[in-house]
Amino acid sequence: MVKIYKISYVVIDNHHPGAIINARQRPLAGDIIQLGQEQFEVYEVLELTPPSEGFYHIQAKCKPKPT
Amino acid sequence: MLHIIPILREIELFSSLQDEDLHLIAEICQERTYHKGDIISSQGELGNEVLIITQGYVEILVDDRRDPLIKRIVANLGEGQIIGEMGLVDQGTRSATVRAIDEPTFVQVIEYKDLKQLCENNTKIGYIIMKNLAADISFKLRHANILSG
Repeated sequence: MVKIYKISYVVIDNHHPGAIINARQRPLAGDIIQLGQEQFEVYEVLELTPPSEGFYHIQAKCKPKPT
Repeated sequence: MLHIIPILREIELFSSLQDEDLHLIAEICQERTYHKGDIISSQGELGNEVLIITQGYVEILVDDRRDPLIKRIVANLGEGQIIGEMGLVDQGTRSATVRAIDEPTFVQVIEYKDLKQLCENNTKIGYIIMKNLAADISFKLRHANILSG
């Protein structure tokens, strides 16, 4: 069964409303992601709720990409 | 529409459904393409369809409480996410405006009446879809709660 990661990207201390996206790979701390026009760095990854039928429910906390 | 079965298999709304169930879903799906900047649905209008993003990215905007001419982005949704699910369960108007911000953005569209008929005719499918729909709304609520916390 293919694993699908349903990811809630939450941007802490920022105006950005975050995003919910499915991905085939689990995000990792240190990943740089593009949300709309802006780039962010993932710094913490948590399992939001238990997986079900191949779907993993993930929360990835992000901060603006360091310049 | 059989070519969309592998896509439907990766949509959580349809998880736990068997292949024969997905064939029934595929029969009521229509593909639609949006371009960057297109308004997919508008806050306040009466919706009659659920949309599933299969490629691309959209932003969810709500009218500012003080000035309805100002719209505030409250979320972004990408591949695999559902739009219009609230109207399916509460028959209310669209709670937000949805705008495509990726070029192109592909969605699969299912009319409420077709989905409801399928769920009523096959209550096993109906139970699974409604359970998955509740889980999706719950996930979005958790996302919003963390942002507002």
